[in-house]
Amino acid sequence: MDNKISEKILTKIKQDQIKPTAKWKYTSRDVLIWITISLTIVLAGLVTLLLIFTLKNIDWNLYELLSYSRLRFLLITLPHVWIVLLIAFLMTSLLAYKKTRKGYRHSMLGIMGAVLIALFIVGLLAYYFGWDRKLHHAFEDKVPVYRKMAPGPERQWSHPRMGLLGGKIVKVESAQTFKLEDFHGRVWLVIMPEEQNPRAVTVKIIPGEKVKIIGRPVKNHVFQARLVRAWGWRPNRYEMKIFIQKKKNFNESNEN
Amino acid sequence: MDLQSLDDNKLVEKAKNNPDAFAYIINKYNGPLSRFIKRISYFRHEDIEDILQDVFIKVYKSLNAYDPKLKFSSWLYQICRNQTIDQIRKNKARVTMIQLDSEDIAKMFSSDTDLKKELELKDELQKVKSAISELPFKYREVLILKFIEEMNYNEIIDVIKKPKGTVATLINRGKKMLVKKLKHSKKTSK
Repeated sequence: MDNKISEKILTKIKQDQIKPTAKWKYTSRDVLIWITISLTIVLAGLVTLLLIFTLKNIDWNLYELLSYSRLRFLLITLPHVWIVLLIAFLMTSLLAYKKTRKGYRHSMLGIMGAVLIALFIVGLLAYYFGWDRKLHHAFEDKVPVYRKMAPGPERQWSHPRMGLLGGKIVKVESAQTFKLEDFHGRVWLVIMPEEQNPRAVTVKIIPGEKVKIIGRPVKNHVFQARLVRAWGWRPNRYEMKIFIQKKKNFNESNEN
Repeated sequence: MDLQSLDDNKLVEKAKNNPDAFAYIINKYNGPLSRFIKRISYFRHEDIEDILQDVFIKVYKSLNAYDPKLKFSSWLYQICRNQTIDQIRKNKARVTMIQLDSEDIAKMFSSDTDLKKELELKDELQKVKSAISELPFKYREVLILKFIEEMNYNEIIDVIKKPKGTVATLINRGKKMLVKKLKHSKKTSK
């Protein structure tokens, strides 16, 4: 196997007119891979910001109010959409990196670690400068589908059967009732709290106001409120415990 | 210009437009590559020649994909390894013992302290060959690259396209498995 093989190969190359594949084909493949990596990293960054915003704004203390186990509450509450998208973007960028010319030199774990550190820094900066809030509002204003799919407090306050209703006041019917459009676009007639509690309603009932309501559905699209709060209100644990106790006492006295 | 005096990278540049320059690359590497194929596989001389032809045609077609920052020989071994693995997969039914000669084995055993301890087995060539043959391919190939082809870590990384940690693990595990097999073979022969 000496010079014979080179002669054989050269003859084949010349006879079959074999040519080296054009450089632009390799270059465009490389460019495509790097575009994919950059794009998925940027998207992962944006999803991280939305994830941070959601986690920051979830009403964790509602756990006290709902009769779910901690695990079930966590599974229901966690922003699955953002978590799934984040994993998908990270995996795509990781696999694309492995396809780069020197991608094989680094372990998956190492690359993943580097990306997670970068996202952690993005998270810290976002927290400090409020980028997550800005991005959320920009999406809310300009991307209609985002409003429907956005997890977090909107989804938490979309459980009328569990006693949680959120949305925007669309019309004040009387001193005792108003109409509210929930996050699925359904309109509810809300009956104001029956109790003589000055802290039951702490928000001005005016059209356009976004509110959180705790109560119970009494009829189809009719909701009896027990607490009406501004959207910015965050239920604290102590308040929830008192509310649950009062509810219990009220139910017991009704039974007696 | 004397093509023979050119280094690999310059030869690659020349070969892109002039297939005759490619002949120098073939002549320089067909020996080492054919030995490498022989060591990691069980192919006969004629099969190795066919694989080599395919390898060099592939290399010629991919000349524009070569990154000069990489050692040319590592890139060549990488293509050769992949082509050999493809052939091994196609010819699974014809598995026999790998073809290492006594020089290869001596080289392997003298270059590592762990393996040196088992040196007396060098005389029992058949047993050593069978122990190496029994190793899974991934361990066998890194041991051959490290101890017989005498490649450094970075070269092995580029040939098998695996990260450093994986290469180190494969070498260590392969060595341990080989020592274990040799010890076992020593016990059974007593």
